[in-house]
Amino acid sequence: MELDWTTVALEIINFIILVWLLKRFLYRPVLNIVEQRQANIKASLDQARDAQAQADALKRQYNERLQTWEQEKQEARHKLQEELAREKAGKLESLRVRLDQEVDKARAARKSQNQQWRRETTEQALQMGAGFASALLQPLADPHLEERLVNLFCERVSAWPPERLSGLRNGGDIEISTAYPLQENAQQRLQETLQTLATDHRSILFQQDASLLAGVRIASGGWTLGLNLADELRGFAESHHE
Amino acid sequence: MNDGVSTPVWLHIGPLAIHETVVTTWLIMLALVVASILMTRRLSLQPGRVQAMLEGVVLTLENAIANADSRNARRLLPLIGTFWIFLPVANLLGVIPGMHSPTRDLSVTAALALVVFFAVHAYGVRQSGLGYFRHYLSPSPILLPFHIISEITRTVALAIRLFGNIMSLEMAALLILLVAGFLAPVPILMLHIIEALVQAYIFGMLALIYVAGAMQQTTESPVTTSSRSNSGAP
Repeated sequence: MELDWTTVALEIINFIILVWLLKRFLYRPVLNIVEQRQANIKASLDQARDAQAQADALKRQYNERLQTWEQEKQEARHKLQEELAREKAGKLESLRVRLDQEVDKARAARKSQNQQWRRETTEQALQMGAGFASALLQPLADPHLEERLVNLFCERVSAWPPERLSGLRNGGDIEISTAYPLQENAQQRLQETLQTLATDHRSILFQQDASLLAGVRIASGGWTLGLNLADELRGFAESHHE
Repeated sequence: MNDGVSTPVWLHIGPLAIHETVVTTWLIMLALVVASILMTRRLSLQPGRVQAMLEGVVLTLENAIANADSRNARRLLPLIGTFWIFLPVANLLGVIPGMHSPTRDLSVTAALALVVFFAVHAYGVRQSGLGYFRHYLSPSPILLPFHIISEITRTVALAIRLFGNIMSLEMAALLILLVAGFLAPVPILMLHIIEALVQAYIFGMLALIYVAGAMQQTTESPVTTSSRSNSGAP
């Protein structure tokens, strides 16, 4: 065990050279590549962080835009609902008015129909009644009935107001029609009554008209007056037109 | 005749006698440098198995240094890392039949201890300037001789510890081989492997502590550092 200073010196130099060589060919390249990888990782991380930040910003922006859109949508929907409600109310009101009008029209039409039906029914009833009455009275018509009718005519016409008899007064000759030949007293009574009502002297012509069934008809010019079954039945049948 | 302790001279270059250990050291250096060049010539960002292993080794070394001095790990890596790479190889070389560990030569371990000794002061001065030497007068100038003795003894201890362990292991294996015959020294060779690794680690760790202690003189007492460092070594 002895110390050789040459060996010591050479070993010191050897070790220092080895340190330099390993630093040059081992530590530095390995550390460089590790640092480069770490730098790349850091860059990737930074990039990822930036991307994350951008994504967060975009997400935030998107959320804000969504909120804005949602708000606008709500407002638009609210506005639309209001317009719809207003429109609905207007339409309903218009519809209600139209319905009322339709109801009124329907009611008027129904009323008109009812009136028409009633008129037609009345007319039919009157015609039927007139037909029945005519069929009933035709066998009953006889000179006695006619005499009673003449008497009734004389009584009623005497009670009429003067203005109703103006046509008689302004007319010409008087024609008296009866279904049966009048008795002498009946003719005389009629003449007297008419002479009284006419206030002046007229020529009176008696004639027979079997279509009257029974009773009398007085005509003077265009004025006609009478009390007979045919005219009464016709008047009864046409009474709904008046 | 080889006594098992002294190393033979291989050649003379003028007045310089080149011993076997120097040649062995050159071979180790050559192997390490060639291996480094081969392994680092195709480094890529996507590491393969070899590159991953290489990076693992280097980063493990750096992390081990950073555990002692995190601020100067990168600066200390070449020196301490080279100790931790060179010494295991040099220590384990003795396991190969017909070869001897360079570290069984006291001249080699002394040289390495001297490297540590000078490196401590070099890094200390580089870190703190010439004010680094003031710590020899701390806490009192009276302690200056003790500081100097401490520096010398720990350097000597570094050299002797490594030399003694490796030389004794090789000597024991040789003696057992002579006495008991072929294959008998296998157990002692297994112990040699473990001891070689442990001694390499201890030498590098002590060197790291000395250097780191010198670089941290402003915050830590060097006496405390050196005494703590010496206390646990076998």
